[in-house]
Amino acid sequence: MNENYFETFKDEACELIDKLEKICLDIEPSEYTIDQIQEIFRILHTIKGTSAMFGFQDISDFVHKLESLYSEIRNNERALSAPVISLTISAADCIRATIEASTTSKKVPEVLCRHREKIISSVEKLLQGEEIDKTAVEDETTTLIPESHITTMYRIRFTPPGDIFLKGINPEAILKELDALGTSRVIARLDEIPELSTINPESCYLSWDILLSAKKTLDEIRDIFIFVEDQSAIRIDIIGTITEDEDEISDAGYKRLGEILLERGDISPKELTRALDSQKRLGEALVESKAVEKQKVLSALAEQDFVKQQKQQQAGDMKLSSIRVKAERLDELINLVGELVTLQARLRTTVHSLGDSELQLISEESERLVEDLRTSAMGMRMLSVDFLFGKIKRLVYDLSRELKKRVDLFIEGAETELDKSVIERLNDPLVHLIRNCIDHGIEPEEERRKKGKPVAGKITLRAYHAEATVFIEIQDDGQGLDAAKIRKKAEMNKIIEKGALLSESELLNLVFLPGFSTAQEVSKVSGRGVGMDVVKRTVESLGGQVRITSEKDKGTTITLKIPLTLSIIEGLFIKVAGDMYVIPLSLVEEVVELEHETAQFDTRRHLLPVRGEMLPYIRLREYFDIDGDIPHFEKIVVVNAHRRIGLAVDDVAGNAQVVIKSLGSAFAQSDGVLGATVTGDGKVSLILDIGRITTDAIAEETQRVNQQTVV
Amino acid sequence: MSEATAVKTGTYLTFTLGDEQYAVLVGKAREVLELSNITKVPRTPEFMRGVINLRGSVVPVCDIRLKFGMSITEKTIDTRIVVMEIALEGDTTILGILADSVQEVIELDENNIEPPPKIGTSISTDFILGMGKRNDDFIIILDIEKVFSQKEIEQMKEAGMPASSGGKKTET
Repeated sequence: MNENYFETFKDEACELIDKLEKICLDIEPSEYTIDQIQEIFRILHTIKGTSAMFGFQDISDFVHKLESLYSEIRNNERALSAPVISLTISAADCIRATIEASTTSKKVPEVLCRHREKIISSVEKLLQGEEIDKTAVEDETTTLIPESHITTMYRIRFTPPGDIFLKGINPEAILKELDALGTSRVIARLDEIPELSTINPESCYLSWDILLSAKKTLDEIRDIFIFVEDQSAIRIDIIGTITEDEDEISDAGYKRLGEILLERGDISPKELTRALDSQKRLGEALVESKAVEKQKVLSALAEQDFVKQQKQQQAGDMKLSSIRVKAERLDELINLVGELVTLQARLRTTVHSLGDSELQLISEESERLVEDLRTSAMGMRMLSVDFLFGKIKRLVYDLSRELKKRVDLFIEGAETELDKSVIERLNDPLVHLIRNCIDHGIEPEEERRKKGKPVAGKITLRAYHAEATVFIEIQDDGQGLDAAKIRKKAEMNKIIEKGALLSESELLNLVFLPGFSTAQEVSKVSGRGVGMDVVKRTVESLGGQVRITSEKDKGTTITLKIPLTLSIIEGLFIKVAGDMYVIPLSLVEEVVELEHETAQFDTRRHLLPVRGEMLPYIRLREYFDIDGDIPHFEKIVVVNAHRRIGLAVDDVAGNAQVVIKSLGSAFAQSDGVLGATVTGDGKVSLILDIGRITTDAIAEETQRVNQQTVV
Repeated sequence: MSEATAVKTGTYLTFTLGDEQYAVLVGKAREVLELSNITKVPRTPEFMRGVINLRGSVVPVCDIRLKFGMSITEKTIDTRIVVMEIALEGDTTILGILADSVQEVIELDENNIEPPPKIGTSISTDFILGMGKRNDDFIIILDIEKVFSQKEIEQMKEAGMPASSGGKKTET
């Protein structure tokens, strides 16, 4: 499985479990709100979904059981009792331990499986209405941390026989093998090397001290030496362990040099005392008194260093592998960086005019730093939706097999970029929507055949920028939503009055209410009515909207409209009458030249032959009502938003990443502009809304043609 | 002074449009900038002069001379942009207005403020909170929220749209 996706899944699942735990700890059996139960239910549902998606079938099944329990509580068929809560907490621990365990090894430890069985049987008992012993499930979880999670540090002294080469064994291979087990540091001991004149080039005079930290047992390490252990002197000592809850890291934390040397048998206690008496640094004293070779001291020092480093690293791994930062803080950072860029541009101009070469050097250096800073600050936020869609591919694959429906997934606009936080939060809604699509939308094969549709269902996942928003569309060619069925269900669940007057779209929108599901039976995949309200709630919390359109037997389209507040696009800078504008590069196909005379050829109809095809074009000056002379040579930027069209501009000035900024409410209705960006020199450039310009131009053209026909 | 007036003693920022002095409550003004590059936004009313970069955020700039029926603001050495915080329908909008020059921050006593006259001012009395008096000079205290109220903006939009054809380009 893709490492990356797995990491994400792990993070996500752990986060959800933390949340679940928190709610469970807050909740009181005697007084709980339906919101809390809903929340638990949602979390369980999501864990179930994602774990199934990543092949953790056992977790998924397990959670499914628990979910059933909460389903009853939600429907007031059962009261929340203390055993249920403690059961949930144990289950949370169990899931977490299972996921943790699968990061390190493929197999889930025996003890975990047993524990899970126990929880499942308790849940089943509860479901059947039996009472359970409260202590039956109480914590065994402390023992759930798998043993392989402990990192052990070894000191290995490996002295191969002198004739090792003659036996055809390469000691280097052994060292490499050791390194592959974890982190190692190898110190070669050179003290056995004789004078050059007496050296036998076919002999091995070297021996090694190896410091290894790995999640392996002593036996596993011994195995590596299996072919050489008879002839070699091998000594393996455990010099320490690092567990996850190691908290003291200090210089004093590890043995002193003298102790290490003693332990290794490199010096005798007598020599140590003598050296210690001599008021010098121990290492120097020992070497001076010839008690030990310098090499050995260095090796021992390396050990000290290695242990310290390993412990620190472990601590670092735990504390710093990722930090959660509030989005506003990143916004603030980006704004500050923007100001810095502007200032830098001014600095450059000023320095340039001063002509001081030393100052120029400083300015250039700072410019490079600012550039790096900007790239990294921007990078922190943006992610292409590909990341999101990639996961969906896998989900579709799994679900179509599970439900025995053939589904083809088409993805468009995967390069569209969105804020990372937005992407993260869109994951759950998308998972639910796709599940719904496949489970309810796409009909079984025979039914499709009867309706004369292709056997394989088609789901299109589409992302695109338009105006100041990103749209994500999920379109299927399934059976569509049945408004009558929705009405019936809504009346049954008392969501609406019997015979209430509702338009079709109002009816369709009922599916976004909590607890609503038209599926006749609760299937494993969906149909508990948690999906759609999660979708709506999430998208709305992002300031977006959900729209649903459906046609019977043609399919359903769900559109998520996400505002694009701080999004970066690759932009093409163009010049019109001395001003820079930005065209989203993703829409640009090519740039061709337009000579004035050619344009004069027919002023009314803007058509230009491009590679044998007549291309209609819009002169941006005319669209924007800009006066001034048209340059002799114009450039035509061929763009494609829904349809191919050319934009005549004065010049093209290269491309760069631009941050889209809203123009604010004062310009809410400005045509053809989707936002603005601040360029490096502190000016504001407008970003063109190509889709709007295209439609406007077509509309104007149609109007003109109509007028002409009237006249 | 029979009419009750909303204008109280306060600190005001004064500026000029043409020959007349105007003032806004200093709390509404965020900062005063030198005239920099204004990027014209096409297809917008002429009084919307465009947008500027204010330390990374994009801020619209209005030419209130045009709103008040005067000629377009010419760039001089004294021309300034006064960046204001304006509460419009509950939202705070950051907006810049052009001033021919910015004068000073003054204290105006309640007794020195008169209600807006019915006639005789060059601008609509709706926009005026009161008339400040100082050393024989009159200062027009603007109700800046009214100037940019949604109704006004909408009206301006309707009136402004056709006028925008042939609109001027960026002034520097």
